[in-house]
Amino acid sequence: MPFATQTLVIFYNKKIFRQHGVSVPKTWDAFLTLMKTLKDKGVTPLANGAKEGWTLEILSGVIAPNFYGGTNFYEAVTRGHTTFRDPTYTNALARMLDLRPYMPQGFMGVDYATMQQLFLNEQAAMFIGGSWEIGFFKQQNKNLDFDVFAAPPERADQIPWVSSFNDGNYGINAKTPYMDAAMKFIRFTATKEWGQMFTDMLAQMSPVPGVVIKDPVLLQVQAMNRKSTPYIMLVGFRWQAPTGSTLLQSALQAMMAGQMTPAQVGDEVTRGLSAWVDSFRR
Amino acid sequence: MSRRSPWTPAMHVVLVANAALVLIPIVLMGLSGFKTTREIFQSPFGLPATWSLENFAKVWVEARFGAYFQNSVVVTVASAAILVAFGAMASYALGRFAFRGNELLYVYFLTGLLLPIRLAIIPLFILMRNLHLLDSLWSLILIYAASGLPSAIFILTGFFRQLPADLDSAARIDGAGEWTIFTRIMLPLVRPALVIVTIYNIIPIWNDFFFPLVFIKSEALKTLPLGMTTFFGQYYTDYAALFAGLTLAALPVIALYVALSQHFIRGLTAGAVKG
Amino acid sequence: MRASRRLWLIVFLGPALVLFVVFVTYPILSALAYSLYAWEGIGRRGFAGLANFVRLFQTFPYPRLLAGAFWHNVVVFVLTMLIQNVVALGLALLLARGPRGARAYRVIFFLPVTLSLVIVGFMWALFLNPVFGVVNKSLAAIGLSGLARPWLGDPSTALVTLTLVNAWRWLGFPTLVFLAGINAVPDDYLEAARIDGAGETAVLRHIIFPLLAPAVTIIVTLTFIGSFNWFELPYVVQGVSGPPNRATDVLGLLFYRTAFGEVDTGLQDIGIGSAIAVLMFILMATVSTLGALYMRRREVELA
Repeated sequence: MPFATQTLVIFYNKKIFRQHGVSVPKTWDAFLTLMKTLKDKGVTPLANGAKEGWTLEILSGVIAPNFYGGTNFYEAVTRGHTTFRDPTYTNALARMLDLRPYMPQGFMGVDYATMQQLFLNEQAAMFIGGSWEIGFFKQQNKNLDFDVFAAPPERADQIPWVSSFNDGNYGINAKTPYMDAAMKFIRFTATKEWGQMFTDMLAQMSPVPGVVIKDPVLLQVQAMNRKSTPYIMLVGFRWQAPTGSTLLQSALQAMMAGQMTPAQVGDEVTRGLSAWVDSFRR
Repeated sequence: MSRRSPWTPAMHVVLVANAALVLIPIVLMGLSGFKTTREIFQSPFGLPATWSLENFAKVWVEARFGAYFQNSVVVTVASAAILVAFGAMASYALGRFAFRGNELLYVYFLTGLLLPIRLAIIPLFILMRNLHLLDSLWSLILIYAASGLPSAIFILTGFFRQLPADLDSAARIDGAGEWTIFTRIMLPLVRPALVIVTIYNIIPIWNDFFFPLVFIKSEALKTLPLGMTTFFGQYYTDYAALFAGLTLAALPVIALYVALSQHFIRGLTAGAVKG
Repeated sequence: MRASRRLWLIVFLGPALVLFVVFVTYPILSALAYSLYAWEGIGRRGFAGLANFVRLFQTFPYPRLLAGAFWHNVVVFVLTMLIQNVVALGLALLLARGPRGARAYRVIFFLPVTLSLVIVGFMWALFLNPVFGVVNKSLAAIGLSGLARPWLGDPSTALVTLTLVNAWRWLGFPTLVFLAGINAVPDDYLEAARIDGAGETAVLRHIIFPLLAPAVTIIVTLTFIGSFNWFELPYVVQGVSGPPNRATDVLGLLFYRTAFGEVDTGLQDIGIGSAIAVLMFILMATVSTLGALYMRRREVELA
């Protein structure tokens, strides 16, 4: 039984936006302009760092889908019609490089805790991350006035893609001596009562149908999910080792440090995955 | 070796500089525990505005430091007791009994010094699972005791061998039993070595992180170093609490060290320093 | 009394032997054996011969990970020798002159050695935080903010920084070992040399250094073992992946995450993990044995 779905979004500090007269961008270029404006006014635009590889994978999950064509690419790559060497994908990754000037000073050493601290202490205007942060941010700083928006697409007429994934599942060990109790519990996690409690208490999206979301930020996230796309490595490429995630995380660190080009990242990931993804070996 | 030689100020500077390099980070760590997180960011070097014990209390109570501490004490004391006891017994036999295979057995125990037991962690994990000792303090105690035996035997055998040859025969003529000879006569004579073996082992055991990381899952059973990672995982945005936690974790060893520094030094450099 | 003597031998040797065989010898031998099997999670499957080793040496990215990790251990060893142990020797020579407060210095210098690497690692990770940490703030305070960088996040500085943190923690140990070695040099040797008119440097070169040989060999061997056993410090400061982009990956981390899974994979491969362990065993055992033999030969007997 799945217990939550997560969506990858951009959090922003509404007060800082108001103070500096900027608003949610509708296109990628507007996004870059927005960050430059903030930086010129002495505000750190992004809280994100690169010390923990998985936060870079998340960053790619937010920024890249609009540029690689979301689910169309996902299906192509999982069906073996293309690999991660595809310029469609690597050019999308390249967009992450545009963010570097707007990340904190010394961002290569900024870890997840520091990222959250920066956003929570209002020392950075935006935080690119997952919807699971909503409850955490609210709990850590009740005065933080924040909201979310989807990573903006190239053109204003496009609807942005958001990466999403099933965050985890409850499972029963087939050999448990407590099968009845376990089944009873698992059945309960499929009920609306459970889903509603889950969403209300943790501000996370429950997969149970019919659950009503009350949190305004989470409502935004739910709306964005109308155009959701699988969070590519987590959903499609973690079946065996080396996983797509492991390969991508290290490679992205190299890319953000200027040691690798996006094309090399794509090559590295494809090469590693070809150990168990047959279609990548051609 | 004292010498009267041109004692230039530069040399004093070097010694003082190194002392500062050692002490300043530790003092900073301690001071930061008394501040608030905001204060740490704003005035990292200053004295705390108010010396608040709030962080320490939070760490001790909420973060179950008391439990971690207790587990560490139990594991360390039990492991040390077993390895000193078994090690002394084995060393006594190896050092004072002539028998076929004595030399071989001694070398066999010493191979334990050369091979890092941690590389056998996978079979150890499976072994502990089969013995139903996973997630119990016994898994730690047994492995620490076992892996401490080589160094104990290395140190103690030498000491036992050096005791006068006639000591046990004289005692046997007087009608003393083997066990009495061992406990009443031999052991007291090697007491300095027992202290060295104890200290040589308890510090690494107390500080060990690797075996608890693999064997222990329950919060209630975590030892201090492992508990610290949980603690860091939980309070990672609360820097003041983090420093308070680090300070609390370091305090027992530092206090003990300051009190017994000569013993510590002798104990921890045993095996590297001749005599 | 032969029978009772044999019984007593069993009583005295038995407990240690049982403990050692069950918890040390058996696991080590098993570790070697495990590398020859295929595994699914922690379930052993069929005999695989050298397949795990072949995969380790041929299937991307393992060869590169293995070579990279090994190389980093080598770098750590060399840097530690050059920085930590040379400085330790210098400090030992200074302390051997018996300056005022020598005893206090010894106690202070040795203090970090008693601290857990977990504590040391976490403490320095906080100090080296590029945004909030005291190191960069200090540099800014003395006007050197240009030097401030993400020490642990920059691929070119991360490993060296970790090595320096490690050296900070360990420095007191070789210092005191060398000091004991220097102090063990008999005064008559030094008197004789001085009467013959030998200067500082000559005394150092011809008397002290040769007689320090055993201490040096021990420190070199222990440094080697320590460098190749690196795990706690990088694990606590950088995480099991050895970031950034494996710049701080070492054999210990590689072994651990292959055996127990990495962040976001959870996929362990005990076969390859065991193969890595076997290679490390061979490496350590060889060097340790060579070190021990070399030590025996080079010891200058003081009659």
